[in-house]
Amino acid sequence: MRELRPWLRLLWTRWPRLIIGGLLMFATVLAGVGLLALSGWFITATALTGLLIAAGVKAYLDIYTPGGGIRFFALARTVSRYVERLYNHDTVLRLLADVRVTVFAGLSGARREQLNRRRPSDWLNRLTADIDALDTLYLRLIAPPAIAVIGLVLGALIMLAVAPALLWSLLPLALLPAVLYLLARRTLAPSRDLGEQTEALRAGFVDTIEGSAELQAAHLWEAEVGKVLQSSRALDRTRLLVENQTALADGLTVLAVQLSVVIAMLVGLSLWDAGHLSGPVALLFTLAVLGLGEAFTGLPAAFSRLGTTLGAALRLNQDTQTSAADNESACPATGPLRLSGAAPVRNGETLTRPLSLTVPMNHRLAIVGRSGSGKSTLLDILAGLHHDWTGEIMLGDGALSPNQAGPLGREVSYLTQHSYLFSDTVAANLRIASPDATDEELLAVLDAVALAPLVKSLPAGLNTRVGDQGRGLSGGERRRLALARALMRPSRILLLDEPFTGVDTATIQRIKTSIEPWLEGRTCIFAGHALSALPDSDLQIELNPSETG
Amino acid sequence: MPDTTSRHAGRWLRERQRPARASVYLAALAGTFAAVAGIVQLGGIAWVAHQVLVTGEALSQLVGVILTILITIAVRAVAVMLQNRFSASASDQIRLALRQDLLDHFQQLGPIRLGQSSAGTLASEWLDQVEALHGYYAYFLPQMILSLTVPLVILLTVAWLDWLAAVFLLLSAPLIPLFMALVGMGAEKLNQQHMETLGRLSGHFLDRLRGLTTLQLFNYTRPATREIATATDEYRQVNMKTLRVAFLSSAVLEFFASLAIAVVAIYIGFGLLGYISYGPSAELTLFTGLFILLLAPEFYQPLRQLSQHYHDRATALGAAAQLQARMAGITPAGSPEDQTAGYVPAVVEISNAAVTFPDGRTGLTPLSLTIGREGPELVALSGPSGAGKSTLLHLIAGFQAPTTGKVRVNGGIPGVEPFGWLGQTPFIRQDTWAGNLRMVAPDASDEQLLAALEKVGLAELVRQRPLGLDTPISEGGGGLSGGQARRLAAARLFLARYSLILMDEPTAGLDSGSERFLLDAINALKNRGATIIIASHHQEVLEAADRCIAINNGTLAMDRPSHA
Repeated sequence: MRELRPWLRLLWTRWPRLIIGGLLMFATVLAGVGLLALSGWFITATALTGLLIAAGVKAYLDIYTPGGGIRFFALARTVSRYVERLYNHDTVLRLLADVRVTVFAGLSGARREQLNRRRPSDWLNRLTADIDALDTLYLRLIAPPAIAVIGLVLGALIMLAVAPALLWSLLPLALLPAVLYLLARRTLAPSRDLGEQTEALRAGFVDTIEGSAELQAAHLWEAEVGKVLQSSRALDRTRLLVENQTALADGLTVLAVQLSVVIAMLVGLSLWDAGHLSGPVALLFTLAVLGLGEAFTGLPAAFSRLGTTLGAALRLNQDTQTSAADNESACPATGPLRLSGAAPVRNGETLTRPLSLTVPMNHRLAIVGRSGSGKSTLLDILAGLHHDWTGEIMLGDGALSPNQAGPLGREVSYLTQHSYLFSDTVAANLRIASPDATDEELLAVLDAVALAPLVKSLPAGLNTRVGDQGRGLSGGERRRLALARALMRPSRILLLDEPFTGVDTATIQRIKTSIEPWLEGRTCIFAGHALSALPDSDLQIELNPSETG
Repeated sequence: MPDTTSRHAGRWLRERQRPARASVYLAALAGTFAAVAGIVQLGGIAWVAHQVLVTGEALSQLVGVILTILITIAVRAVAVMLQNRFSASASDQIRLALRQDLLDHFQQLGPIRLGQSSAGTLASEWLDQVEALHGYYAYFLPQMILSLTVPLVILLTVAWLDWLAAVFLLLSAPLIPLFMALVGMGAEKLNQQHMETLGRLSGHFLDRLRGLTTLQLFNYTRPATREIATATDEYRQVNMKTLRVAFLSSAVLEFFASLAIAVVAIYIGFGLLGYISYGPSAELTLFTGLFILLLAPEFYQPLRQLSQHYHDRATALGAAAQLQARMAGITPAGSPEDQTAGYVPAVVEISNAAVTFPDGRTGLTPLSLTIGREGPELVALSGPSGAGKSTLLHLIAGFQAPTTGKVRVNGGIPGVEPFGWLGQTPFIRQDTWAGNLRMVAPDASDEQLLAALEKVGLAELVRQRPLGLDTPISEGGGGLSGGQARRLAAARLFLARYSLILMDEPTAGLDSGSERFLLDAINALKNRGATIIIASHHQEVLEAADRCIAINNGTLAMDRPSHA
């Protein structure tokens, strides 16, 4: 249960809302109890009075007060239920924001290797499922048992004041949460791991689909598909186990609630027999217990979520647990860049020959090589995105360290090989690089990458949305917008990886000169398949396949 | 029309219910039985109260009735448990059958058509969308039956006790279909709105997560975090406006349920006091009055539960529409061919085969080729992309059937005998190195596995790991690079001893080291006596080949021995 602690703390920051929401839920239960209890009292009282009247005794019963009470509870139950649902939905949406902000803040210090541990899409799927499980932590898991217990305590206090012997009737209800918890613990371990297993199953399925040509050729498809289906069955078995247990819990809840009702009736009637209670009050308690039982019917579903919620909390705790090293003080970027026998390493294999060279401050180096020659990985190292290399890399007096937590922060601006545009406006995508830039500054940099005419021609101008992952733009336009963004970022070092992918030759020639003002006064490192596809440089190195060690 | 789509999806959902129809009905039966037991139990309680308070019997005289109540409670609890178990099992059976059918469907589609959808989308359908049907089969469907049977049983019981009270309930009965429609519309709108909001929010959140590295590079994670909070808050405010209306429909149902209890209670009270001289109310006793009062909330209970499960239906309809579209248009991958063709001991024989795609494009014009008649050959298929070299390769693999003409491999239909395939996305199982290699050669020794890995330059990497061949492939972070994965698949070709090996652009987009190793491996495979056909435009592959076949615009442009 310890894994829930940070999330409970997060929930608690909204404690007034949680308490009001809880009170509204409680009011709904209370109105239901009141409606049943008062009706029970009313019918018994009228029946007994009716008998007296029939027997010729002059009896009187005020029917207007209880009648009004019944109508009041009927209305109160409806209204409180409506308000409660509305209010708690609002709360859930607020909590959803809290959980997402917390997870995102926790992830923002993570290394790229950590984020892309497995397939990014599998990981994102699992992450969102886990976040969803925690969004409803309050409404689905915490509130129902809390309301049931509070109702139980209130009922016990009233019984204690009126007739303590009635307390026996609450015994089955009081034992129920504990029994349900013990029952839920049996499936805690398997259901905790469901999230991870689903992620693994998804990965296995994707592997099989992507390898389907090879598998069908080798007549292995059916065997592999059988394995995937088998692991999906293992998950189904866990789910079925949890559901069957919830079924048992549902049965036990019916048993406990109805036993409580019968005990309440028997004790109430005995007390009436002994002259301690009137008949109508005896039945009032019987029906009150029946009404209280409604607060317990949600418990099996709540407890069945315990395992998956704990698993989700555990995984999110791990995901967001990153060594939040200080990016700012990581590496001073003044002075020359020196490589001595340096070569990037990936998956245990060295990607290039050992490189030794020096780029003086404010000079430009062009790295030319085919795709796969290791040049992008080299830039990743310089930006602090890749942490595996041999040899030594120095920036000024400081050596780059593989323990560097994340990107080199404000010293480096990097246009990565596959740049990412956010589903937002042109301006918002650019302002990520320079939040305080004016519209004129944005248009100036867009002009340098030959995008200004396009943007100006659009009705919404800078506020045009670029679509999901920038798909509203063509490939070349996307690339140039990403280039503009990298240029805008004030930094001492500028890394550009294939800056002109998808851009036609004439435009490349134009841009090469027009972006000069943004390159001056910086140490620049360009990587590309040919010198012609890169801005002018002082130093050039070539990484060729034949030179691989 | 969205309406027809949802109607189709609804019909599809009902059809898919077939493998577990018995379980669904058993669940409904158990639920009805639980309701009947509940009625008996409540009647017992009313009876005991009446006997003690009105007739003046001692509790000790009523032991038989009390025991009966206890037994019915036990029966009710067991019936509730059974209902839920049958429901869960129904959903489980249906989902299993659906997953199997989808896999069969994927196989029938074949690797080429399968490749037209992203594996991630297929995975989401096979896992998440199938899972999304659970609530419909496990909760909604049985509850749908119960919301008809249970109110009916209760109505009959109440009518037997006091027909006027039954009339009160009955008066609301014609309203029930109205409620259901109302609740349905409300819930559907609620669901739609809510899902849309959540979808947009998740979209924004996912977008920022996907671009997290970019945000890190621009030191923008903190403002981005704030934006997530603001966006969520804006959507929340919009959403709440719609929810205010949407929740009203279930409030109406709630209101009628409460009102029914209130009206029935007041009617019975007045009747018991003798204020109502009309109809059966003069015969009301504490027993009948209390019994009816206890039954009134139960009358509405199934409907209230149904409204809670309405979102399960909406979710399932969405998933069903998607799954239905996926499974539609199952056509066998190839037109059935006669298998009586004369046996020619050539490895690959193509006679007048042509391919026209479903959209009318010409893949290949009639083309005849024989490969491997003179013994093992290394054949390179070259040509510009889209010219038809992949189509030709798919014909030989049997992934694509010729529209006209014939393709024979060792005299039989392509794909009847296992063959080797090396494409750009090899199959790598989440397993050890050994497990990934022994897939094709279960009896191979460790030495044989290492020898195969040696040929593709991966042996060193495996020897470095402490567990050697038993190291899980994904251990140590990123698993394999694209090039390493293709080399591992090539190692399998050395172990499996196929007589035919097809390769589709095996060196495309590789790092230079992996490319070198693959070229060496191709040469080594050629020397082992397999017929190898490679679609490639890579110069070094063409140089290694014995024979070059160029395809252009779907026709044979050149076929000549290469002069390496």
